[in-house]
Amino acid sequence: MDYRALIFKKISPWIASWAAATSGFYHHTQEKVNHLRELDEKYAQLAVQNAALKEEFEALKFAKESKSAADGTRAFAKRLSQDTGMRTGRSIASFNYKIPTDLSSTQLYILGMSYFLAHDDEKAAVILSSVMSLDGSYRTAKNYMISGVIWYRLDNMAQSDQNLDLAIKLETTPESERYQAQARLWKALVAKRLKSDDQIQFWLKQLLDHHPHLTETGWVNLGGEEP
Amino acid sequence: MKATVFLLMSVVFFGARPNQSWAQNEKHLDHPIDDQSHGKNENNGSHSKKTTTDEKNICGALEVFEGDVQILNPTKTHLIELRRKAPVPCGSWISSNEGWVHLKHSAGPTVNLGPGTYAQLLPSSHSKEQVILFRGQVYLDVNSGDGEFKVGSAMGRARIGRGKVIYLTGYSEKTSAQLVVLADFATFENRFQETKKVRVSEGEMSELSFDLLRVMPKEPTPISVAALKPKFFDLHVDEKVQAQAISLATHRQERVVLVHDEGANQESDEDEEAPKKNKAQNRSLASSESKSPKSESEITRDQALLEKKLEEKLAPGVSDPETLIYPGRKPKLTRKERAERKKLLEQIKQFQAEP
Repeated sequence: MDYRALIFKKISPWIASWAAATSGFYHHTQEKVNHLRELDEKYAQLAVQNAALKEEFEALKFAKESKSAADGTRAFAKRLSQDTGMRTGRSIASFNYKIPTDLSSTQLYILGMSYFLAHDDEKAAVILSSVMSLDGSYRTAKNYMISGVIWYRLDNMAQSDQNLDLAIKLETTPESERYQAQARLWKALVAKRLKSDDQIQFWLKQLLDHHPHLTETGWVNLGGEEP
Repeated sequence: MKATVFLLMSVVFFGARPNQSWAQNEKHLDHPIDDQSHGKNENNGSHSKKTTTDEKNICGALEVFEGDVQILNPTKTHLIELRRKAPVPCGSWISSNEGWVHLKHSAGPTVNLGPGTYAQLLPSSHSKEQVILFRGQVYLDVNSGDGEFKVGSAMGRARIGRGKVIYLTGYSEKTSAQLVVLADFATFENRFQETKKVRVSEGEMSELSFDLLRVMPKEPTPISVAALKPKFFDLHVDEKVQAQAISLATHRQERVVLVHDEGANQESDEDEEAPKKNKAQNRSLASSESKSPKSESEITRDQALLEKKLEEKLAPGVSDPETLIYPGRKPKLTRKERAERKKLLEQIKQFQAEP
């Protein structure tokens, strides 16, 4: 036997085992890489699924809250419509404002008038209601008329109508006549907001009949001009 | 020898051949699965793949983010790659659990989302709101050229023409929304009662809830600086804006009554004139300014000039025209004469004071 063949015969098992081992090592590494890759992809997929589920959860929650808000708005609007005459009307209970306690009636009145001129109507309504209920000297045609205007601005037509009525019912004096005329005009505007055409006509006629020579009447009666 | 070659070839063959799972993985790569941010770093997106987004449907760009932030595409198939200037498609859902994210909306405004926020980004043209806030808080900086920008929640909607605002929802168990205006103004409304809007000016906030049995947002009230600071921290608002907002909030807190009404201090007879006075005082800058009354010195100068003209006309060439025109009037004293007279009067007073 050739010595080379003999050497080959001796080392061939070693070579075979080495080759097998080497091929096994490569094969095993690739499997490991693939496994890691699969895990990574699964993780990414799960993250997407998780995000999608979260989106569904938030969307459902949002839809539920939206429905609750819509139902609440509808219910409150219906209730307010009955109480105030308007769906967006506000009552004195819904104002989150507390009157300053360290002021006199006169000072409160001045503050209320300031808020009225600044169109801060909620505060003006609270102050004026309080002052007029506490001090009888403030229950004048002018103040009732101003209260009516404030409640008109706050979409509380029932309260506005009530205040304007009180202004009109007071005794007519030279000082109060102008405010009573304005109150009649505001009554017509309240009727317009309440979509009551008969009442609009009625109050405009009342204005013309009771105060034919005032400026406020001139706004309505155009001196016989053809429309 | 042949066996060795065979074995070596087999090793090479087995080592290089892609197996079945590899092929499957290649197939998976056809679906773009992007990375998400799970860490606390801005650059935590190393395993991401680029997405193919239609440029027409891009609603914004990612500016900067930190923490646990996820952006899911509208079709819910992949998460958007988180990197600077990454495009955010319209309809994307943005979630920032324990992080924050700043976006630039395609309409122009800057949108900062704070922690615990879930929002959806929508286009300007086809939707009522550009940002829908499911829960959490958002800071919006809208410039005048951006057009009206709307942010909505389950209950409320804010419209911002120009201004810097913070909008919050889901901060309490009850359904509610809150609008805080840091600069300029915005309007706030109930989504289901759009007829009435509340204007919220700088340094003010308004809230919408059914607690007070009303469907409209509350009347705006001044905001407290102490309550603002945590919001600034959460939303990573720019320091300049913070300083400006704090200044405006403080200024608004100091303003107790909106109108400075001098006429209201007097009694009823003068009340009728008070609105006229206020009208002049509250005249806006855009309207023409009325002429201010002349000062006393101007009136005196005019009177002297008129008298001089009259003297020239009535008594021309007369050395002392005053005595001729006004015989009863006391003659005018010179400065020296006035000083002497004053001195004399003082002396008389002293004399009278002595016993």
